Amino acid sequence: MLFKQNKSQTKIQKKSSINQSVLSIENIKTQLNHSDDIMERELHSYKNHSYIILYLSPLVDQDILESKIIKPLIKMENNDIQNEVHNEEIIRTNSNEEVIKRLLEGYCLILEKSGKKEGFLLKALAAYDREVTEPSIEQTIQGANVGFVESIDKNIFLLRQNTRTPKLTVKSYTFGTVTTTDVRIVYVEGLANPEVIKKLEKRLKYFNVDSIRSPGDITDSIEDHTFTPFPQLLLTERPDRASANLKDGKVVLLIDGSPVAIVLPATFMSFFSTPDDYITRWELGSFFRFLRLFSYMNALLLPSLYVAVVSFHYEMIPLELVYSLQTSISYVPFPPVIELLILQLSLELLREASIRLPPSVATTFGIVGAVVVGTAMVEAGIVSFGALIIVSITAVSSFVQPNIEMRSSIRVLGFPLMIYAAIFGFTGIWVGLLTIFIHLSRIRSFGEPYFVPFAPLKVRDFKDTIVRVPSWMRNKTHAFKKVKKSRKWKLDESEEPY
Amino acid sequence: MKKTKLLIILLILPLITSCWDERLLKDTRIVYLAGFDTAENNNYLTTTIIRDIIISESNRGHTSVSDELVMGKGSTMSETGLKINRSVTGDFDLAKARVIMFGKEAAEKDIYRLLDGIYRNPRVNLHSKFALADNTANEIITHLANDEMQKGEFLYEMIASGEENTEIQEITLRSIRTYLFDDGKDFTVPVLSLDEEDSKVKVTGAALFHDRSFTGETLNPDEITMLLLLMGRRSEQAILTKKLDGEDNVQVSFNVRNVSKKKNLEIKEKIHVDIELELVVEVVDYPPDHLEKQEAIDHLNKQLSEILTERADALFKKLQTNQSDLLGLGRDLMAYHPDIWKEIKGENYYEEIVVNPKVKVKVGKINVVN
Repeated sequence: MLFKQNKSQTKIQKKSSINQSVLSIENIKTQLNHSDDIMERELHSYKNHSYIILYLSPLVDQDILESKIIKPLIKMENNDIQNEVHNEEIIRTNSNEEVIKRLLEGYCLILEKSGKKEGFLLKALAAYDREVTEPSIEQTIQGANVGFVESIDKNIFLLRQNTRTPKLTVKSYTFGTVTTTDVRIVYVEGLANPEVIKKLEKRLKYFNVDSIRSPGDITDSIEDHTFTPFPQLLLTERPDRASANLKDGKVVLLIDGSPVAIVLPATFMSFFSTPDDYITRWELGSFFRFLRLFSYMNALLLPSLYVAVVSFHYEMIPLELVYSLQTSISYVPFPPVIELLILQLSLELLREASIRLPPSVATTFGIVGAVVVGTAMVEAGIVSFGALIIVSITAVSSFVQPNIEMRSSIRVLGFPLMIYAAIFGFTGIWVGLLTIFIHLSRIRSFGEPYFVPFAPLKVRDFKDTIVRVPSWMRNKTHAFKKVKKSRKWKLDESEEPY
Repeated sequence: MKKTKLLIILLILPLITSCWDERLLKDTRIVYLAGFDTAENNNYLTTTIIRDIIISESNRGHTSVSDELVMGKGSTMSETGLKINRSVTGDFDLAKARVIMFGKEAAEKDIYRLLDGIYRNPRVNLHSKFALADNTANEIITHLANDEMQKGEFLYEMIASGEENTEIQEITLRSIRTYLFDDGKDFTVPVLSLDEEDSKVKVTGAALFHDRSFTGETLNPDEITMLLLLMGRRSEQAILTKKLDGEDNVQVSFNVRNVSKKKNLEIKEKIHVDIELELVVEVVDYPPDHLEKQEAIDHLNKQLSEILTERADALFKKLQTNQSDLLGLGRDLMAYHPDIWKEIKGENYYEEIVVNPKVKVKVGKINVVN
């Protein structure tokens, strides 16, 4: 029996392969593997025409189907679907392939029963996407409370709302040979570097996968350098940030189903800015920029400096500290590197575990972790309190970095630096740092230098990278030609300071 | 393939480059005070205090500190270090030394013989202070080891505060080296002595050095302040107390606010050096008061100038008898009169120099002190 069925199926397939392009209900169903969620419905209109409606029920909004497709269809007088059925999109087609593609996008197919080999595709996509909410990771104090959502159309809506110009250009791509995903490139014509767009399009042309599982699939294959801890694409979940970048001439890449926008090209320093910098007054914004840079260096170097000092250069520690440090370190059975590695790893464990845990458990877990890692380990003599302080400061410093991927670069680079420090002391740290700087100066993001105000050195660009000067003092870019004049007004007599 | 090979080589290379000179903090025994003495048979004796950390068995978080007195004898300084190493766990390390002390006997010989090994060690703290024990360094350190309060840090603070009060010349391991190799300039080192009465270590003066050895003569704190003023050095404050002539039991204390010095070399049959020192002082303590009157100030000015000139004269006599050229007059000769320097240079060039000091005191501030 089983055998028979198989045989008959192969027969059908063979048959269908002959006239696969012919539009027929049977053909379509076969190509969709007779999936149970295919709905077929026969209708008779007022003038006694018969139609067959075919759709994938989970993708179709029943209300739209009812009121905007079936109702007008029944009331139709002239058998003129294109004019009498009111729908936002009606496609007339006789291609089987197009029908299949559209059905998967939430269209429904209307076929006349009289045997015309031509169908109409009407959009009836059910929108189950969530409301626009506050971004969860990139939170600001005073910024807009709007984050990207999973629906690509809504995201483009958000971008357009923030970037109101006719020059905003959207280009659509569909990727995946087995399952498909929509990807869109958004940029402002005239501001975005055409070279970058050309490069992006070229790279996307080579992008060929069965299916896109996450934005990582795309970023991996369009990034300039894969073997580097530094991210060259800026991911953001804030429409205002993405829009500000668009106005700066950057290109934004949106992927359907992902609530992040990919901004490119990114520079090293762009990971150190947040939307808040531009909302608060410039002194404060500059201070936080400094703080972030400092904390990045801090998180990167502190563990290795500790290792170097404790195992090579302890004469640098002040006398008052050296005794208390020695007191706690002398009963630790491991060399300082191992000691720090143990602590760092246990901290990583805590960090990773607390992300996956539900919030109610995470609090308890955090306390337990803090007690075990903090107090008990020191008291048991597994690690010294010096190492504990260092690792804690490192962790706190690393959390200051606003971008997750940049933050992870600290971890990737911190461990080798620590090993260098353990082998060579300060010399090792220098060698490691130099290697990092050389590497940073070599990286490019879509043809544009990554480490930009430093290498190549552009002192004028410091104004908006390591500090944030008032907006009217900022460099003239092609986007903001008028900025400089915005403070040309003079004080009235009544406004003069006393 | 080529790249991976290169990468492997680069990864292995750091691991095979000769010795790994790691020095773990936990394996070292940090010494903050070291004293050097001479012992019998041309040997040296090094005395130090090493801090021990005791972690109680019942409660591992709780630690206590105890100081251990260790000594090592040997024919060179490094041998004494090795001897000490044999008696303690870990490595004896002078990297954190704050005070280095010499016994009187050891200092009377060439002290560079003791310091050579220390200068060769790149890790030694060059800012450690110097001191001379009026008997043996061993005696003072042994005393300190038994005393709860007075440890190496205590000595360091004591010397530092003396420097602030212009009572001790600022001498460190680094600055002393230039004096050791300078023919035209000498130095002083604070003298520590053990007060038998209240069994405390005190700074009692400064030892005059000539070339590389102790002359045997010490200056009292008053004289050093005078000397430092003549050298043109004044720290945070320099307070002098003098008894005025002709008046019964009237003492005046004053703080020197400003020093200006003029030096003039004149070549006659001997080398005459006229030093004119002008001090602007503030009166700290003067019971008769009435300093608002110009006469009283004039009187003080005159009296103090006379007294200080007299003192300065006596001081230079003392320096000359000990050949200790603290003002660096020899260096002046080298620079301005090299031909004369060539004639007189040698061990006792100071004999050829006559110093005529003249101190002029000006009371400048009479109101609220400090």
